[in-house]
Amino acid sequence: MRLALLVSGCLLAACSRRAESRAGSHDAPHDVRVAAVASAANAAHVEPVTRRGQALALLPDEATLIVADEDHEVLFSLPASLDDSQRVRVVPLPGPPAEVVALAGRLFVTVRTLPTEESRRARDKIRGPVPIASQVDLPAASSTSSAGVANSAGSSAKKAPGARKRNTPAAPFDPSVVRGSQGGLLLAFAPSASGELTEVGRTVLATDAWGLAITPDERRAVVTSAWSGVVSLIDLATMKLLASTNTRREPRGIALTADGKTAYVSHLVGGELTRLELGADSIRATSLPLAVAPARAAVGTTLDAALGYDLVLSPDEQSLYVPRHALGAGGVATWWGAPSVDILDVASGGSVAPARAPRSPTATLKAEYIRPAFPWEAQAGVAPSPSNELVQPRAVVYRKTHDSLLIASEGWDTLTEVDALAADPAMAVIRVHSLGAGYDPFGTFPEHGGAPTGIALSRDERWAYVYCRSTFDVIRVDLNQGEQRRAHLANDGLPADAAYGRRLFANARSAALSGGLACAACHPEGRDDGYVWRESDQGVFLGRRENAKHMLPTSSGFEVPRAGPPAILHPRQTPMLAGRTRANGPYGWHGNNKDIVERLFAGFGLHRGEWQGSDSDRGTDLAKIDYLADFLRSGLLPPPTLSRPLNAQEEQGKALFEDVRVGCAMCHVPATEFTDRVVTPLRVLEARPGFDAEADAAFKTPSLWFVGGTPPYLHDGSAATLEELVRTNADRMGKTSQLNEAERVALVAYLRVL
Amino acid sequence: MKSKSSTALRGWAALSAACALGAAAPSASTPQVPPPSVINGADVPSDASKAPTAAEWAAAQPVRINRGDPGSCAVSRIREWLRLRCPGWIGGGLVAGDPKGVSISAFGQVGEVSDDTVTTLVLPLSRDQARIVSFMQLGQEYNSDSYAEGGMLSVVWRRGHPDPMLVMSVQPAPGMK
Repeated sequence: MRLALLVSGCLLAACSRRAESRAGSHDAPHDVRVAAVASAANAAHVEPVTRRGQALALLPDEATLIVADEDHEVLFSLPASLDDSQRVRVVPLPGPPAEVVALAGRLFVTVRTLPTEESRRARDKIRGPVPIASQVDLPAASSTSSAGVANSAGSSAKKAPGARKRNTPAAPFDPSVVRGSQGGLLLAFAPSASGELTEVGRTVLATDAWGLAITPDERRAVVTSAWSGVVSLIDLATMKLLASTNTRREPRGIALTADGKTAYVSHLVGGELTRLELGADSIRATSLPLAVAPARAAVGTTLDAALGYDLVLSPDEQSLYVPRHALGAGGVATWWGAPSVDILDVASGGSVAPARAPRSPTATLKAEYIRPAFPWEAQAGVAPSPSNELVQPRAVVYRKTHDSLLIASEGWDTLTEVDALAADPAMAVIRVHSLGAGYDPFGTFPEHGGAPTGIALSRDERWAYVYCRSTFDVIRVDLNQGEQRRAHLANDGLPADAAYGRRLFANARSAALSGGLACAACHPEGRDDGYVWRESDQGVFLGRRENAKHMLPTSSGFEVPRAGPPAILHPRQTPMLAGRTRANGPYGWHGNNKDIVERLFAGFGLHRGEWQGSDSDRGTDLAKIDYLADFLRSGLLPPPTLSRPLNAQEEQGKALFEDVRVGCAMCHVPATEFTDRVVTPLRVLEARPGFDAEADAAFKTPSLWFVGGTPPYLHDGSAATLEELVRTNADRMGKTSQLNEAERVALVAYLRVL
Repeated sequence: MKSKSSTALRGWAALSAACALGAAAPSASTPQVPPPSVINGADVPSDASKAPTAAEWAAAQPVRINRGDPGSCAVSRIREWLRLRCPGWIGGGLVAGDPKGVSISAFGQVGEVSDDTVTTLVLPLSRDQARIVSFMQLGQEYNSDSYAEGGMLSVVWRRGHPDPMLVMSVQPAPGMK
């Protein structure tokens, strides 16, 4: 009895604080919250559907679905049947949620940032109105649609909250304010039978808390903090941070073994994974290489990767599956690479997929009326063309009844099932569930079912629930019958044109924007893929030299294709966009585009294969660019960074940065986003292997905002770290050769907090 | 990137569905031919042998791929050797994996794809190895034919696994460009 009173008292106390939580009031007495969490944990144990985090989760009874809506900064709780509007709840959060795990009596949510007060006010304006439960648009109880035609279309745009009129003026925000953070969070909630969620505990973590997994004993959580590059271990009974460790850039998805002792972490940037050994109160991280699409790599080479948002173990834990974006991967009709699903053989630590051999047997029937193949077309022994339906893989679950993987394709608006037992499952597509509906003829993005980002699979593996982030829908897919049911949770709270831009940014279908890849592929969440691309003198971007076909299509199908001159390939490290696009211009590495409109227009031409045409038309392109620019400036949020005073070492670095004898601030002007946007001749760097010498060594000063999180550095990516950048600068930029070791360390420390 | 029909079943799911729809009830008067079985790893010798002769292949028992759609390919095995004989396909090649012992041939009349157009793949089933093979079919254009993607075979025999895993996917016949 006493326990029950204590619990109800705790819940009331927590509940009364909930309204304040948006403003960052999270100072509930620790013991009160701990008691609530612990008591919930002591409830009769029911096995959860999963302990892996996703953007949405089924409660253990599978009657309720919880959706983490990062953009509106709320949780939605709704009936899994998507048919009872009385059971919809909207729970405002203190910041943007990323992933959720539902255990019996407890719900855990990562929150990317607990904004500072100033940031909170700015974000409230950007985000738009908080969704209202009564306006969530659920389909009628009896209606179920066939695949690809969801059934709440038509009424949702009128009913759901947050819609703004077209041509709503963009509202550019100040990234230096919006980024302000008090840290990331792990929140604990107690769900009630009526669907209410009451916060019962929280842990402050490194900023940008994102991925979440709970150990099988349900006593600890593992959380990745993406921008911070940190993985944390949290005790769930006390909500105390047990340990944390630094990892490579952008740790995201987590796969935990059944014994709870080992975890694997995927990274948004780079081809390596991280392996974690979890102790009682410790984490040991080691880098774990996993070959990226080896069957698509040129002989003797290795590929790099991006978009490792998620990964999953097979039920027998012999295979670890990592869907990602294999940069520069070869195959029929590739220019940027291909989506791949790389499999780690856990026992051996090697890749399941084979590598290419120097001389592979091939055979081709030669016939008079079969014209020779262009270099980008099917040829004997060439890897198959990439599957559109896997572009920008965003989430994955294992379907053990079928030994298949379900992968959410952000760029193609699909839930795609692939064969988990193939050497590269991305080459063995079984079934595609098209989620997009009502495609805009102008923007080629869907009105519904856009940019799927999370998957929740029912226990019997018949139902997959998918959260579609750019349109704020949940779609329930009947995996046996292919039928779909859709709930529209909210309308985009951004100004209407910026909301259009958000959808354009994520969608890979527009031939005008690129050849099968969205902005979000190379600029995930507006950040960067950490990759050095090749900009060819023939006016296109390429993943690797092997992607340069440098052959021109002939006018006649009978004509033998002619080889053109070898392409000259200049290195271009992907720049981060979020928070760096407020200036009028110029843009481009050489400052060759006077404003962002011209830069995006040039980008439309660059981002495609050499052979690919475009339906580009300056008039319509400019309209799209206008939407994109609105999104970049009014909706694309910068990474959260911890707001705190500089320490002594950083202060020393700041003084050096601003010292005219060092000269950093002469070009990287602090008052204007740490750039003067002037094109400055620099000493030519030696060409790196795989690239050609730079003809034009005058580069526009790049912004240094967020520079600490965006290695590698320089236009050619030749400096792997800021330390290396400063150490090897040799007065190429400013004058740093006179700095001693301590001064260089101080300068780097300051750069890290910009 | 290829643009595929985005609602259809692919590969083995399509095959299973087609089988379910098309399978007739067994007739008492029709002798039952047991369907080919998948390859049992225990039946595959560990020691390497010479590639079978044409006469041996002619007498080989058919086997079934584990998953996916074999398309028109007839699959058979002798000792550690696997053969796919694929009528209608106009070529192919080893994409990745050890080329040792792998052979592929494409035959047919010059000028058209006819009944005797066939691509044949022979490879050794090797423990602890994986291979990927691509096949080509004829693409049709306004004034010529072209090479188009036909299918993909994945052969994986992982360390510690008793059996090899053969997965195949087939591209639909390309339409007129």
